[in-house]
Amino acid sequence: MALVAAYLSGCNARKEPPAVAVEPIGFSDITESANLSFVHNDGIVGSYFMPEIVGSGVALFDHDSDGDLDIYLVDGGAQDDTVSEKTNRLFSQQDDGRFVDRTVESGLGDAGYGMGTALGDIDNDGDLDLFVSNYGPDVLYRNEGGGRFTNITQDAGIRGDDWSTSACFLDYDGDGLLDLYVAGYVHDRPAKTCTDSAGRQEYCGPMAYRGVADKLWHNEGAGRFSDAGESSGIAQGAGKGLGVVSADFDADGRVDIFVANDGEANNLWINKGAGQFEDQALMKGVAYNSFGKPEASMGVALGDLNADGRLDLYVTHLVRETNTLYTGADGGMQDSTGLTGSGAESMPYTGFGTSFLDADHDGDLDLAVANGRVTRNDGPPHSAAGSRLEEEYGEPNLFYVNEGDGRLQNACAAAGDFCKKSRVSRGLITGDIDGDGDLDVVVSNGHGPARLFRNDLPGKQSWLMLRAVDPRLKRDAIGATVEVSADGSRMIRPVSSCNSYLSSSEAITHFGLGAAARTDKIRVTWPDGSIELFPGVAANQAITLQRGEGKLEP
Amino acid sequence: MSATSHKTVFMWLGVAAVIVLLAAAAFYLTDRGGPLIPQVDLSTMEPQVAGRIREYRAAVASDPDSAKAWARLAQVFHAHDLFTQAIEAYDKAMQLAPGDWRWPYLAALATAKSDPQAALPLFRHAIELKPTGAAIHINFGDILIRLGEQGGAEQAYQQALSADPESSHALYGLAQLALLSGDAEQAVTLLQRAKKLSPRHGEIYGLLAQAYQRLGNDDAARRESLLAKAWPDTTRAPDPVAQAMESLAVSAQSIALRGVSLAKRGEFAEAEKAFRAALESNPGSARYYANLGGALAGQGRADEALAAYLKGLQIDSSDVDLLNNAGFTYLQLGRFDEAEQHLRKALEIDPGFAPAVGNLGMIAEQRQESAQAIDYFEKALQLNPGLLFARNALAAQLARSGDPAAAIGQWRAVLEINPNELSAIYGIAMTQSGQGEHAEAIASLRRGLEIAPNSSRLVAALAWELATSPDDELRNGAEAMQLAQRVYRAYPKQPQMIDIMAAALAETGDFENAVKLMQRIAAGDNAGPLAMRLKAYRQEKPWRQLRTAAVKVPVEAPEQ
Repeated sequence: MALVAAYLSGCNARKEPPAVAVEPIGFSDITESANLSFVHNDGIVGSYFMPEIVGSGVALFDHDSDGDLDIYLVDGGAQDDTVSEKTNRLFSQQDDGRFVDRTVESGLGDAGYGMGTALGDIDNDGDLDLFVSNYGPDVLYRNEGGGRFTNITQDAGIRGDDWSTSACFLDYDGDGLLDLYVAGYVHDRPAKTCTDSAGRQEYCGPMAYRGVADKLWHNEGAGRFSDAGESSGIAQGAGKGLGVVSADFDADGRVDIFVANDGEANNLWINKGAGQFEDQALMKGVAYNSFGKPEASMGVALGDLNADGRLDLYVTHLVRETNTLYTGADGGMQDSTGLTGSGAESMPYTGFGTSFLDADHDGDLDLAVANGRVTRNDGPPHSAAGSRLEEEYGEPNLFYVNEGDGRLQNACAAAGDFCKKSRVSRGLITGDIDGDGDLDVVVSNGHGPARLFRNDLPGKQSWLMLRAVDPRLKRDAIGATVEVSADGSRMIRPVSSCNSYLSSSEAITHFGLGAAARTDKIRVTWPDGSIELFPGVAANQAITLQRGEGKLEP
Repeated sequence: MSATSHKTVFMWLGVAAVIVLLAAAAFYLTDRGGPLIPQVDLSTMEPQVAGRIREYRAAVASDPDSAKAWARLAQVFHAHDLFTQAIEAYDKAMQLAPGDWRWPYLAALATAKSDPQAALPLFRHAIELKPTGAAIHINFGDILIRLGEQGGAEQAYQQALSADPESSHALYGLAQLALLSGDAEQAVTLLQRAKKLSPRHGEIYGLLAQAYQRLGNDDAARRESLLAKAWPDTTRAPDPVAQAMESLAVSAQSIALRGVSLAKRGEFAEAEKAFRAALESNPGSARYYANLGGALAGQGRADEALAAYLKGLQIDSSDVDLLNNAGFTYLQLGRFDEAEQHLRKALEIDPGFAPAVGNLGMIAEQRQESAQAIDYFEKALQLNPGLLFARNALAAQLARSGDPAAAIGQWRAVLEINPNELSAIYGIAMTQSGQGEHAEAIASLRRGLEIAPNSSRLVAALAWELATSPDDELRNGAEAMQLAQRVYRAYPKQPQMIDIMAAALAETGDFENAVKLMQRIAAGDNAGPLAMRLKAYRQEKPWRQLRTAAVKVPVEAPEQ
């Protein structure tokens, strides 16, 4: 290795980078102490059944309206289409911060081969309903209040038994009712036997199969949905969708949809109005990376990384591809991966769940990435793992802090337990689980235990959590953006519950305010494009902004 | 000392000697500056792969000072995506042959897969040894862009252009940088240059769409988006060293991928060999049968192609590509009912599968169901506007249905996607000729011949136009003769070529030979156009004087 070693001298790649001089983020793995006892069951028996390497996700929400966040974890299942003995599980947070299993009481114990989950208030009653995407028939649960849910799939008209992955609630036609976008992956039946470049049996990649058209379910009201896939144009694209986010990407007052497709061009469904969508991913610069090549897109983070007032997309990819950052630009977006400084570092890993979060409360967005391979690793093994699957497919997570200008610095060394263990990580979601104002992280792991990482930020920096609610709709203003100004900085966050990979959270916006004791002003762009200004507020609190209570901006 | 004791001593001495020898061997292979031969678990690999790795490891073991042996081993690892092992072996090859640029270059490519930063010094070293390697500079530039080092990337692409001024990939890289810096106009300029050099370099269209979008030119952005969809395959810069490395792969998957590349280049016989080899290793792959069928079809062996497709369908009856390909081959063989059955099954499985819809249109066309054919082609184009065969077929059908303007419109749309599509150029020219627009027809044919100077169909059509045009200024007997001779020599027994040759001869005043030629094909055509032409030539009248007789000969010749 002499020559290579000589060439490598001075390079820190593949090694832990130096810690960044920021307030220590210090994520602590509190899974066991919090009694979060979930181990993902993928039914693995060595037959390289493709779904077992794809799932599953996690949702973070207050299922019983008791004021704290609960965790819903999606489980896998059996390979032969029989109903699994294990089910998805709901862990309810108690006053002491520990979780107890309330699956049976909640009625959320779906036993299908689970993939992902999405949260949204489909009946405008102020609580969050829950959708579960499956390898097989999907399931829709209505929140009845008091922590109880009813499976309304059949009555709602949700049909089909394709392989669904990420899903997202959004109001695409502005009728006040949340509609549902469900990404479809591949038709893998009959299953094929796949091999790697050395001829060893391996999980099939997406190229082995045809894609499944995504679904768009229009909310008709009264708990019923109709299939709007054909009429909207969405069904024309049979991509291999894994990640979904929605936002008004072209600032025309209509919510659009970005779909991360595995090994194919991504979709950017631009909402043309009247229930019509057009895929403009190529024109807008998000179909392929800047080399014109489709990538194995998995998870998506949505946020304004470079603080230029425009939303950016961070898309996770396969090993040997970079994770790719598309930044907002005039007329579209552009692959700015090289400019972030994070792309090359992600190449040894296969990224799935990902989320922007201001972990250190310095006012800019940092980034968490959950990793785990889909093809075995022939190189040196990553840090200690458990099962054989984890040894061959496990990878450590990544954490980056924002240097203030959108450049990302690997901060794993400062991130406590977050990057330490190699696992086959998939879902990732953030939320203030312990109610201390900073964002904690939950990661779901394939064929392994879910992990809860508590953010142990010392609390010297200020923060603010805002919920944007439209009282006429009695729910969060999904599709709005909230802009907070403090100490001369301007921060924008989307109001959305879909993010990351197969995962969902409450649509609460979170801001780190640095040393500021209060915000200067708050500006909300509601989903229809109208803008309302709210006066500044004191830091370190969670408040709700009610539409109509601010001052309309002309 | 007893005999037994002697025996024991000798035995122990022998054991010690073996240990010393083994230690020496270990020292030889480790402490002399090189690593142990890289290890990998061969037990689960395909036997061919394991065998090849064993073979090359043995070659290294028997000649550990051979850079060639180490490099071969490194490349075998690399070709099978065993990058860690490949990098170790390349390192040894570099030590043994420090002046050979290929090993740091390939080591750089292998290293860049997981650690681009670490690949940079290897690229730089390769460039020091081989400053004129365009592929090295392009790959180096690509990595630098990923690392955000735009200045270095620009230098690398410029050096690639110095080494190969016609490198569309280098121009593409520069256009990427222009777009990143916000100079969309410069990006368009560079990409238009790249497009001219390499019209099938599909990535260009996608980036052009983005650049036009930035410039606010939505129409151009949409057009380029369409082109990007029509050319979805990504390309790579010519790179013989990397290709030589890849050719060492022996797994079924690698061989099949090589076959796909060969088939894309039109090397169907070689592709067939590759797919048959892949099937030997993995006879249960429906995909390889689909590939084999494609290679056979490319050689005109429709029956064998069909057999391959049907074999693939025995393995996976729901593979829409196989169903579509089988359907198309049945169509070629004139077995329309079976063709339709397979295509409809493909559409049951995937209703949005545009090629199957287009092929149903082809069946309708064969059955003379013109309106239905047009419906199918239009539906296929709604599903995939870049489906060229359907658009060509729609244009031809519209021309036959008496709507030349619509036909020309469709062919022009084909040319927007592929300016080199000869069927569209030919179709436009023939339709123009039929409309009496001979100057336009001749211009179209000349443009086509710039793209494909040896296209017999275009040469024949132009010869005919130049020999028979009613416009004195357009007719050119000498050039018609020259062109007619080219196709006549190639196809001396084809009646159409004889007809063209005779028309050219008549136009130049050589009626004697024109009559001789026409006599060969006019026999039995007592009152038909050929007989009329023979009669005219006998009367020393050139063909143009027969035009009022409304004789129109569609010039069709097999494409060479």
